[in-house]
Amino acid sequence: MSDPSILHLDPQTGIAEVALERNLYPLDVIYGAAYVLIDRAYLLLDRRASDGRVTVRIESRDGGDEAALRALVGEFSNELLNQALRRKITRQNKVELEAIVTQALAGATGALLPGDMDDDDLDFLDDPLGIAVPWEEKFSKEARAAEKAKDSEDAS
Amino acid sequence: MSTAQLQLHRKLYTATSVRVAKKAFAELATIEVSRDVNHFTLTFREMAPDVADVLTREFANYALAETIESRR
Repeated sequence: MSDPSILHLDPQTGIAEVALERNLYPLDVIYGAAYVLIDRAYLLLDRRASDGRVTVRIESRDGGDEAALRALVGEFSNELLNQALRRKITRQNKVELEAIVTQALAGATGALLPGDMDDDDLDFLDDPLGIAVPWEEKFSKEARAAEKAKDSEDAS
Repeated sequence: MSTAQLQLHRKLYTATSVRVAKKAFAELATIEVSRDVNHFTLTFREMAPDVADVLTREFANYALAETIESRR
C-alpha cells in the first residue's frame, strides 16, 4: 500500500494536506483514521475534481512546529493502515464472527440450533420400552397367551 | 461585520450532519447553507467574537464526526 502523498505542509500556518487514492483507501478507512485524530486536529475532507482523490487537510489544534505537524501527518498515515488492516480482517472473518454471535445469542435465549437436533431422538413412533402400549392391550388374554406360547417355545 | 465561508463536499459529508451541525452552532453565528452539484457552501455571519477564529474549523469537525457516527 502506497503512502498518502503530502500535497503541502506549511509550518507557518500549521496546515498539512494529503491526497489519498480511493482505490487504496476506501472512505470507511479515511473516516476511521480521521475520527481518531478529530480531538487533536482540525480536519477537512474534500475531493479533487481533477483525479477524484480525497484530500485531507490536517491542522493541529495546539499549533506547534514543523516536527509536530509532520508527526500528526505520520500518525494519520499509520492510522490509515491500521484501519485498512482492521477492515480486511473483519471481512475475512465475517462468516466466523456471525456464527459465533448467532451461537452466543441462541445460547443466551436457550433456543436449539439446527446442529443440536438429532432426528433419531425425536421420532415419537419409537417405543422400545413399550410405554405407549395401552394396559388393556398389553395384558389382554391374547397377549398373555402369545407370551406363554413364546416362553414354551423358548424352553423347548 | 466578519463573515466566513466553508465548503463541504456532498459525497463526504451527509446532509443530515450539516443540518445537525448548523443547529448545534446556531447560537454562535448566523449560518446559511446553499448547495451546488458538489458542495454544501456554508456562510457564517454575525459570528461570536470569542470563537470567530475557529468557528468554521470546529463546524467542519462537528459535521465530520456526525457523518462518521451516522455510518456506524
